[in-house]
Amino acid sequence: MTYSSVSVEGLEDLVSKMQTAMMTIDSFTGQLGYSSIKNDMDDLGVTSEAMRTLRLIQDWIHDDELPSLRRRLNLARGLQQKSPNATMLTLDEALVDAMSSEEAEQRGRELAEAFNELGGVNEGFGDLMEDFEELAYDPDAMAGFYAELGPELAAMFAGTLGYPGNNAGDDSQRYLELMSIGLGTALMDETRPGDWYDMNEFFQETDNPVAAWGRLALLQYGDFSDSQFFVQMTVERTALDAFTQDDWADPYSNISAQNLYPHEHHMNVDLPANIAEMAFLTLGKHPEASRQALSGYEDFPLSSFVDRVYEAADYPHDRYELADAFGLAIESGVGAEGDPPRTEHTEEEAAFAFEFINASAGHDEVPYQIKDSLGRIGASYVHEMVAGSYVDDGELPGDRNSSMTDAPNDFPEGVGLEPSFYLSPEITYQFLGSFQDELYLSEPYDNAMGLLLSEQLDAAIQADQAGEGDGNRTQQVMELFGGASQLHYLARREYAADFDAQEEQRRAGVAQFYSSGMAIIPVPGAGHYLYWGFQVVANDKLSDWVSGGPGMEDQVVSENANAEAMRWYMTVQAMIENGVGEDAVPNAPAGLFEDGELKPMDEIFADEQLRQDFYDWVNENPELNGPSDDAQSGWNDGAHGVDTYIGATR
Amino acid sequence: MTENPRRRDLEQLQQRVSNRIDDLKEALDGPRTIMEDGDAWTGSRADIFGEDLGYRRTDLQGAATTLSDDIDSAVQAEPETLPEDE
Repeated sequence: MTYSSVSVEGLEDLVSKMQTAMMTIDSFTGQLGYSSIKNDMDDLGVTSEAMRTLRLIQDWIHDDELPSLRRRLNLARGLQQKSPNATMLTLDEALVDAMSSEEAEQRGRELAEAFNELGGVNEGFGDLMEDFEELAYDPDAMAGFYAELGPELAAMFAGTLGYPGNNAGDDSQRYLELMSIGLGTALMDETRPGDWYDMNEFFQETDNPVAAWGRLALLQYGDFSDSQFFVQMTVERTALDAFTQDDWADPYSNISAQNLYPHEHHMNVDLPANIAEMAFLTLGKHPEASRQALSGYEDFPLSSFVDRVYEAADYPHDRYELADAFGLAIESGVGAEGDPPRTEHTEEEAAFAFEFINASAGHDEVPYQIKDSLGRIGASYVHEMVAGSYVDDGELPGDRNSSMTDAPNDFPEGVGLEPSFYLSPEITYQFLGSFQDELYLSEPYDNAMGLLLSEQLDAAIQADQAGEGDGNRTQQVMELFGGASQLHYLARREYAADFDAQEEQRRAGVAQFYSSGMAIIPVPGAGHYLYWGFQVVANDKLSDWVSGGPGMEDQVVSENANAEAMRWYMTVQAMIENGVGEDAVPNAPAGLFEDGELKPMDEIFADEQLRQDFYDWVNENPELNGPSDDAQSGWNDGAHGVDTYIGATR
Repeated sequence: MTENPRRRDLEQLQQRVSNRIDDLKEALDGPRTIMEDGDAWTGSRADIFGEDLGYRRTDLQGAATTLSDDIDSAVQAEPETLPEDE
């Protein structure tokens, strides 16, 4: 057994450079029939033995090496699907020797002929799918298979697998996944046969719901990352063109409103029955196709999609699931994948997010089914949400619109925040409000805020300590987050389904979290506690916010700390952890530090003498006291600015 | 004496070859670098290909030099001018 270690990218480069080498040599030999140095030499009767050597090298590339390199590359592309994150893949060289590209394509064609003869998902289909599985990751074979089978039968086989009562039974899901993987594999073959282009019939409208559903089902499971155009065109012609029409809601005339089968719960595959829903679900898996399809209609911009989907989810249409699938398509297009969602974006992702957020925020009624997506989009664009919460002194509602490029007047640049665009405070408020119904919907956003606040605060403290800029970056960062936190709080208060219950949940969470001695540094999945800790707004003791319940008596923080004191403690702790006032630490009162670390909040606030010592010690040390007071002022200024601004809108 | 048209044609050929000969000599440098870096394909089969590629590259460079020399010789062998009566 001979194994090679290969990379798709490396082999692509090697194949490309070998092709270039061959063409360079051909410009001398003219073996491929183009004008060449050899022609010119012949015309002048000049000969050279070197031409023979050049021809031999060209033949070696063309006949011996390029075919096997292309085959090796194709097999590597198939393997990459199974190990998407691997940079180097292990390839059995016997596979390269077993079949040439031409032979693999022929095997695919023969299999397609057998599918054709069977005529549907009939007796014997399982045996054919076993053969299919062997070839599903072979681009040469799959290109031959689909070229031979053709678009109509490909879609019909897939559609039938989704249809209840077909002969594949419980294997329907697995077979459909394999057929989708096979189509993705086929598209990886750069030298697809001429009749492959019949498959572009997917780019034509159809009025057959089985064919429409089948086409979209074939795009659900395979790797189409380098075939976004194929996905986009198929989704547009099959479903979205119809969805943008005036009769979009009429299942008798509009294919996008139709279902593969009327009773979705009877279907034996894990996909929705509705064509438009399938289209959005497809875009949810293909970011580039999602952006292109949803913002590419000249007369039907992204905002029209938002309007239509929100309308569809409302009475009397009640197509809730459409909003859910649409949310996934938007998440994909804006680059909100990952946990926590990614916060750095390409220009295309940011422009798409900007359009969507502005369009969605314009709606008073937002379908509940999309709100989890909105929370994740907010989390992904947390820099932009903080920037959008900024209110300049004296600014009143309506003074500015959202902008992709223009920062608000006096916006603090260079303090670490990196927004891709600047929303207006009204849009930010309405967008944040649209996912505040329940606490869990906002949790991704709250987590992202906790992580960003911690990161920005640390960076600002370090920059100030290093004497960078005016030395007030911490104060500026706290002002930004004070504003963002207050805007979020007010939006929550206005839009939460049960604000009091949410507050109780949050306060109990904060009290429990900090009472258990957890540190300020957010741990994965718990960033929201840090954010909530800073965000708490009332000046009462935390115990006044929590109505009681099991274990409440142990919550020392809730019994002894108030919100201001808590935020102050957290700021001072962040400063100490970043080395501020380190000269004062050896002289700190006994019991305040343990192993060089400031004691947790719960221990300090549980002991009145220790709390007093802590307060006095910080006040006696100007390098800690000054910046921490300035930070508190910054936070309060930001919050106050937002209070005034939102008050003016209400 | 008059200008020798064949000499002129040969010199033009010589110029065309001269313009491209470095590309020819370097045609297999890219693939060779990729194989030497080991980022695309490694293993015993890759080693054989890499070795073969090295030989072909040497042959290619030799052939390019020979071709260039042969055309230079053809130019040199041709007089620049011809007697008027020829």
